[in-house]
Amino acid sequence: MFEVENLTKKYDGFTLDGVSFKIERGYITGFIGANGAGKSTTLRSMLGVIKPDSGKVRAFGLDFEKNEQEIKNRIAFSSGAFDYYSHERADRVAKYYSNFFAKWDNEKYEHYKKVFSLDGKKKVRDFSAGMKVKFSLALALSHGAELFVFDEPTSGLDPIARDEMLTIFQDIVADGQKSVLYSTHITSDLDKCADYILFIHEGKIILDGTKEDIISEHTIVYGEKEQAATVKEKAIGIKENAYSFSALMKKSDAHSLSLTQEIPNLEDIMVYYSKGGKR
Amino acid sequence: MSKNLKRRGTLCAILKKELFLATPLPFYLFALLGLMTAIPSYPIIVGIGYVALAIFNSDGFRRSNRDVEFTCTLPVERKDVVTSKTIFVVVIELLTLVFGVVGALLSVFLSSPNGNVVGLDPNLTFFGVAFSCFGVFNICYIPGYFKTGYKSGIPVLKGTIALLLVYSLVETAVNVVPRFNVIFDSLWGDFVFARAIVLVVGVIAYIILTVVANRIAQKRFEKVSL
Repeated sequence: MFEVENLTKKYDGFTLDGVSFKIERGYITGFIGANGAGKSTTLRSMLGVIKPDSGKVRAFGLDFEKNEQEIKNRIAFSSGAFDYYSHERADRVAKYYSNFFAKWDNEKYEHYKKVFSLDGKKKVRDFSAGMKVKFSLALALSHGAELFVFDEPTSGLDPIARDEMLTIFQDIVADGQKSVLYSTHITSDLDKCADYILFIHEGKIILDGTKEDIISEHTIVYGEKEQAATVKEKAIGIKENAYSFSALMKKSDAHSLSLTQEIPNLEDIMVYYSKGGKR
Repeated sequence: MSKNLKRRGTLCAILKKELFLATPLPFYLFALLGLMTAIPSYPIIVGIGYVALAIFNSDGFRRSNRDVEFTCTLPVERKDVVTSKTIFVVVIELLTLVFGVVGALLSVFLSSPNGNVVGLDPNLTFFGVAFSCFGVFNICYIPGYFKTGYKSGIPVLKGTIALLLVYSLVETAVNVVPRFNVIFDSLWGDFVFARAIVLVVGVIAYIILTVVANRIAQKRFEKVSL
C-alpha cells in the first residue's frame, strides 16, 4: 500500500539515514523512537512537507513525486493534534478543508462529529487536546482516506482519551481496507493495538516487523554483577548497578545462558536499544 | 476528471482558503488607507505603502496558524501554494489602488488650486508609478518570502525600501526637471496622454515583475523543507 525506500535527509548534527519500510493494508503500524530519533522527519519527508535529499516513496502503486496530489487525496496526515487556524470555528475550517478533497462526504463529517461529541460551532482553540485529535480524525475520516498518518497523536492525552483513540484506530482498520501509521513514544499504547512496529534510532530503522515477532525475538536476562561479562559481547543493551545487571539480547544469543530470563515489552526493547552498551 | 480540471479545482480551493480563511477581514481594511490620496498636501505614497504593513501583519497571522505547513499537507502542488499567495498580494494591492482612485476623485474637491505641494498629485502618473512600486515590492518580497515559507521580515523590509526608492527617484526627477513637473505633476491641463503612458508602462511593469516574482518563488519553494 505504501512503500518508502532509502529516504535520506541531512541536517547539521542529524541524518535521516536510508529509511526504508512498507505499510500493509488493513493494519496499524506503530512508529517508535526516542525524542529526536527521526520519527517526525521521516513522516514529514515521506509526505513532501520536508524535502528529502534522496529516496523514493510509492503509494497505492503510484510514484509519489509524480502523483503527489492524487496520493495526498487518499492520505490523511496530521501532525499531532489539529492546531491550525485556532481562532476559527471548527465547522468553518472543515468547510475550507473539504474543498480540497474530491471524495469529501459532509454526511460523514456530521456523523463523526456526533460520534466524537465535537461541537463544530466551537473555535479550534477551545477544544481540549483530545478534541483536537478527534477533530483531526473527523476531517480525515470524512474525505475517504485510505492511509492515516499521525505524528504523535496521543502525546499529551490522558489515559482515558488515549484509550478512546486506540479504539478509533482499531475501528478504522476493521474493514481491512485502511491502514494507520502513527508515531509515538508511549509504547504501552502500541502493546494494546499495534500490528506492526517500526523502530527508529538515531535516524536509522533498526527494527521492522510484526509486534509479536519483535517481542518473541528478544529476551531480557538478569544476573549478578559478576556475570555481566558473559553477556556483554552479545547484549543489545545493558543496565548495571552495584550488585546486578539486566540486558536485552536476541533470544537466539541467550538460549544457552543459565540466567533468569523475561519476555520484554516494547518499552524495554526501545530503552535497551537506545542505551546500547552504556550504563 | 482531466488533470487540468483537477488542477483548476485545487487552485480554486487553495485560493478560497488563502483569501477567506488564512486572511481575516481586518487585513483587507488596510486597503482603505489608499483613501489617503484624498488628503491635501500630503505625501500620498504613504497610504499606498501601508500595503507592506498589511502583508507583514498577515504573514505573522499565517505563521501563528501554521498556514503554509497545513497547506503543504493537503493535496496541492507547491507551485499553487505560491500562486495563491501571489494572488492574495495582488488582490490587496489592487484593492488599495481602487481606494486610492476613490481618494483621488475626492481630492478634486479637497486639494488646493496648486495641487499637492509635497509630492505628486494623485493623477495618472501617480497611479502608474504606484503600479511600478508594487511591482518592485513584489519582486523583492514574494521570492524572498518563499525562501523559507514563513519568514517575512527581511523580504518586506527589502520590498518597502525598493518601493520607496523607486518613488523617491520619480519624485526627485519631477521636482528637479521643470519640464517633467509641468507634464507629470498636475491634475488638470495638457499632457494627459503623456501621463496615461506612464500609467500603461506602470501596469505593464507591474504585471511582468509580479509574474516573474511568482515564477522565481515557485522554483525556490519546491526545495524548501517546512
